[in-house]
Amino acid sequence: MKIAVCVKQVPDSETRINLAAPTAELDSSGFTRILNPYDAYAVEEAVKIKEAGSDVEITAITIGPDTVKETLKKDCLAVGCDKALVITDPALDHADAAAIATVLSAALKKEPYDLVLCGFKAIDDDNGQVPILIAEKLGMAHVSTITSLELGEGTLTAHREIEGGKEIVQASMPAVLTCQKGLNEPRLPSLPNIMKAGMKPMETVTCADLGVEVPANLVQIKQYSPPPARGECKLIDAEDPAAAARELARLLNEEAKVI
Amino acid sequence: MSDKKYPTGGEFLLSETAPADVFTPEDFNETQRMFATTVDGFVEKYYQPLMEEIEYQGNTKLGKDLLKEAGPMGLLMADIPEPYGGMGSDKATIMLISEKISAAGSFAVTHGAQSGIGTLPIVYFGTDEQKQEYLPRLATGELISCYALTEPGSGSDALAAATTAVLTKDGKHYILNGAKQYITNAGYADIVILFAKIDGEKFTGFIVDLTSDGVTIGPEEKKMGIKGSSTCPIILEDVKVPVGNLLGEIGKGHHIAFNILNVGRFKLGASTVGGAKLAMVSALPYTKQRKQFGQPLCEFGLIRRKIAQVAATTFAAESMVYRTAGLLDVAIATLDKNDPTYDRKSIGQVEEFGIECSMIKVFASEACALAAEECLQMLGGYGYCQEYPLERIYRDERINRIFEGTNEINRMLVPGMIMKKALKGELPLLQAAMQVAEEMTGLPSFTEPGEPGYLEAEGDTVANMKKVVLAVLGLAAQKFGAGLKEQQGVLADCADIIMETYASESALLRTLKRAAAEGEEAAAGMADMTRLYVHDALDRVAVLARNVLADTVDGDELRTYQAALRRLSKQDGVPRSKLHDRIAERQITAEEYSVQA
Ligand SMILES: Cc1cc2nc3c(=O)[nH]c(=O)nc-3n(C[C@H](O)[C@H](O)[C@H](O)COP(=O)(O)OP(=O)(O)OC[C@H]3O[C@@H](n4cnc5c(N)ncnc54)[C@H](O)[C@@H]3O)c2cc1C
Repeated sequence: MKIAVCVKQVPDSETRINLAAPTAELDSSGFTRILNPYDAYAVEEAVKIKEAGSDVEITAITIGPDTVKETLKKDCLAVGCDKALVITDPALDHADAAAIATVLSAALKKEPYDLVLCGFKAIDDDNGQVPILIAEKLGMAHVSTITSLELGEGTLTAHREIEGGKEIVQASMPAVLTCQKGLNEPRLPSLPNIMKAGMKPMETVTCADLGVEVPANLVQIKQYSPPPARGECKLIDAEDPAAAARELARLLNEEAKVI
Repeated sequence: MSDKKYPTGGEFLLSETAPADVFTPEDFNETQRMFATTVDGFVEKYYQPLMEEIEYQGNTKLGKDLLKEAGPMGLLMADIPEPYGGMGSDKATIMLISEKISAAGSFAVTHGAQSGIGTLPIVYFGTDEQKQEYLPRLATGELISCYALTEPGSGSDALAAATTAVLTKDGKHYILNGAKQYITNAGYADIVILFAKIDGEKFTGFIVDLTSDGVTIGPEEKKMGIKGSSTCPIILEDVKVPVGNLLGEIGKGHHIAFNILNVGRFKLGASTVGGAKLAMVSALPYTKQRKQFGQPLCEFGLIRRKIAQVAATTFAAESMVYRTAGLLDVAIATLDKNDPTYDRKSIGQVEEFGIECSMIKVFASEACALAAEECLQMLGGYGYCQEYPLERIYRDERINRIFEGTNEINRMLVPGMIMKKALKGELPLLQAAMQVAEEMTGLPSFTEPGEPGYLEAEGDTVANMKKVVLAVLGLAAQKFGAGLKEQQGVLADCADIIMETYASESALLRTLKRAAAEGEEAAAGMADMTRLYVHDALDRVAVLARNVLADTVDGDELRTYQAALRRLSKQDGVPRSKLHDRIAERQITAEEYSVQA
């Protein structure tokens, strides 16, 4: 079985973003970068499938500049993926979800993958569109935000969390699945596996190599602007909880005018 | 001196080192950085959830569980050669792991006892058979080990051990009797590396199975800190140990003990650098949030001064620790890996740098102590309460100045080992000392100082410190001869002067290396810490040297030397408050120790 895991490198959620004034482009020079945490669930699920069965090959695929290689090595190859494919092309620098999905689909067509696993969204742009678009482009089944997965002969059963309950979905393979927290507990790369990761194949290609033309963006980011400064916090000094609640209600009504 | 192409221990005092030749934390490669992330991840994922139970309830058994998790992650195998299931990592990597695991409080000590002192005696002194038997299982954590040198009656004076070993009539076993004390991991270890005197004389190492008849593990000590590490006595009553478990050579146990101490010391240097950083990251965010008199604590000048001093001292410690790692790795890299005695020879290379190992043990453990002390103070009453981690960091830090050779013992060793190398002709120290003495007692030359270049003043200071070292060591050797050993005050002052010199130079070289690679702007943070550290160090050196001189010479000679010392230690002063301000600002912005500009 062949599994592809599509991953993205994102800024660490603890990275401080220097954004004093509105700007068209973020200064990303000081960012610490990590694997998108939801993608880690996808990687872990693929590795678990490999460990449970025989003859499974996992390819980690990403789009990004040279700096993505460290993440691929540490968080994909060192935890059990077999090889990596990096699509590096300046034409993709500001690509939107549709363009990214087009290019990834082209890469995914190179090999007959049975499963494509992705995080259900990336924590930087919070779009959550790429996997669905890929499924559409490749004509594969798609199950989103799965929290459990069981594979059968050419079929799969997945659980998804829905408002107030759980949905159990059966789909045929090949399929695109997006992974949600709760699916598994991603492992840390062990030191010896980090050493071995350096020996696993990592191929770098351009869009031309894949024979795909980058489509024009459908969506463009016009501006990033800092959130409004937070006002001073007001501490209510009251005799007892009841008095404090009364004062809070008064402030919410009269000053903040939210109730 | 031999025709070696790489520097030897203590050589920094006699020659100039090029910035490009020092190893710095900026030189860690991708794999090493990934290792560091895994260790951080281990601490977060496995240690943090158990922290409360380990550190505040003193559940020592959890150390064993964590070792069992650490094994498969590869955290126990860095020191073990590849043929025996390890990774055979270089010393810089090993030290980086020690630094990172230090965030796991008590478990850092548990980890060190297993992967360091509990394993290395077999790596360096075991037979191939012993290595096959133990190392692969120590690498995975299947087997847990400990190291027993200390006894109730012999601590610092380890060779005065009273435990005995007697060969049985059939020549197949040794019978061991005695008691060991303060043994880390003893509460659950499977084996112990233990020292006993054969026939009451020949100090020898053994690998002892702790399930053997006659072994009793005493109760856990009630300790001030690292409460989650296991520390117990081991009592041996007619314990039968197969002769095949004798480690190294009969009567050569001190080789094992002293060599392993060197490794313990450089690892402790690294882990206490981690401890200092932990103290900072535990205090800095608080100083931003807490307001008094209407402003955050971190805006008060005295808080900023504390932050700057802790940062600069940590920077000096970190620079010397990893510079030493580089020295060790360069020396070890000259050996042939296929040589069957490679492991044994590599510990010999470490021994060459015993001076540096002792220095970084003392310096970094005291830097960590300063960090714990000042960071706790920054939190005021909250620092004193268990709700915040500094109360624990403050208690935990204390042990680092006691084990792996107390800081007193290590201070005695620093000038002691230098003199020994000088006498053996490995360091042309006495010739250099004579030259400095001539210069100091001759007519002073006056050169009009021009506008100093980038960190040039600090470079001059370091060069002058080296002259001071040579002068005081030379005079002390001349005055006291073999009796210098008894002059502990003089020796300790010399040790401090030597350490200040190594620390100052290491900070300076690291900064120059960074500036050469990335530009002076990128090195601005390091440069400020170097300026502050080197300036203050020179003042301390001046006082120490003045006292050593007064202890060693008198009359006109003393006056001449004191005048020369004044010339060598003269400085204009730096704008301290501005330096403090700038250094502190960077730490406060980062909310952790930072070398960034
Ligand atoms: C938590 C903990 C864990 C430990 N783990 C281990 C372990 O795993 N294995 C092991 O073998 N040991 C271990 N030890 C023992 C430790 O290494 C010793 O405590 C240490 O070497 C000091 O010995 P001592 O306690 O007997 O003190 P002493 O040697 O009695 O020293 C007391 C004081 O006198 C000073 N002093 C001694 N001799 C001199 C001298 N010549 N000149 C000047 N001053 C001197 C010392 O510096 C110290 O300040 C551990 C100790 C502790 C507390």
